[in-house]
Amino acid sequence: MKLIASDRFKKARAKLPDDVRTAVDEALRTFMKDPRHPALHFEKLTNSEYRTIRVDRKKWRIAMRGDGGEFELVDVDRHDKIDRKYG
Amino acid sequence: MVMRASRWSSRSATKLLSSKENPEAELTAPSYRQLAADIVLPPPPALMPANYNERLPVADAAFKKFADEMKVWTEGVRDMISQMETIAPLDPPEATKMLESVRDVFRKLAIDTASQATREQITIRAAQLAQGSENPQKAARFIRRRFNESADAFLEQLAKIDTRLTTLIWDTDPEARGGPSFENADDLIAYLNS
Repeated sequence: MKLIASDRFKKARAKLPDDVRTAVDEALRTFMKDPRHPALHFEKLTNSEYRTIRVDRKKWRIAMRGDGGEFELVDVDRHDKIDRKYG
Repeated sequence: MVMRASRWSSRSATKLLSSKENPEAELTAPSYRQLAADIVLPPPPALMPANYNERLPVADAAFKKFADEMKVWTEGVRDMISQMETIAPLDPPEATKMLESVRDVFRKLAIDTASQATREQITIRAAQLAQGSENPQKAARFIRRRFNESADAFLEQLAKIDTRLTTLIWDTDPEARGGPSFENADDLIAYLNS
């Protein structure tokens, strides 16, 4: 599993509250170990090249694009905004 | 104020974009078109209750004018975005600058629309329209609520347009693509923290 860190993702992550940023890091660790881990809810957005994973049970998600073993991290935001931006 | 926005979007945007258009360019983001189609214009104002019948024609005409202005404004911006989607993939640095300047103007206009002055105008207009009613205070309250509902619905559309502009900017921004790759989570997180 290979992850590409875009500047956009890096900036979006830097703006998050500490607790959410920690949860993002944990989600990334889990994703690199097992992309199909049920807690991540890894899914493709409808009619879109983007995929998302859950950061927590509440509202935060990570958007990425790619396929197979290589994904580009694009953004991290509230789930409704991710849907509007990339869905 | 609303009409000023409409004139800007239909004329300046066309001028802004005409030199950059390339009819042979292919859209790289077809989902934008679908999103554009998803913009729903505010619903026409509902009829007032029967007990306000004596003010109905006046208030209804005012609602219609308000809704028509919003429709013109929204369609103007939608048309502008449609053109933006065509040119955005052509020349990333130039397109990014152009989109950012459009968004700045758009946000100023949106803020004007949502401003306290607009809400105060709605209050004053509602009071005017309610004059002559059996219960002017109650009628004014009803009319004001209807106007505010229309304004809120319009602002929701503005929020969608703003999100789309932001996404377009990001997709033309070189920073949004590529970057270092990692096979180890610790290395990735260390980079993100750097």
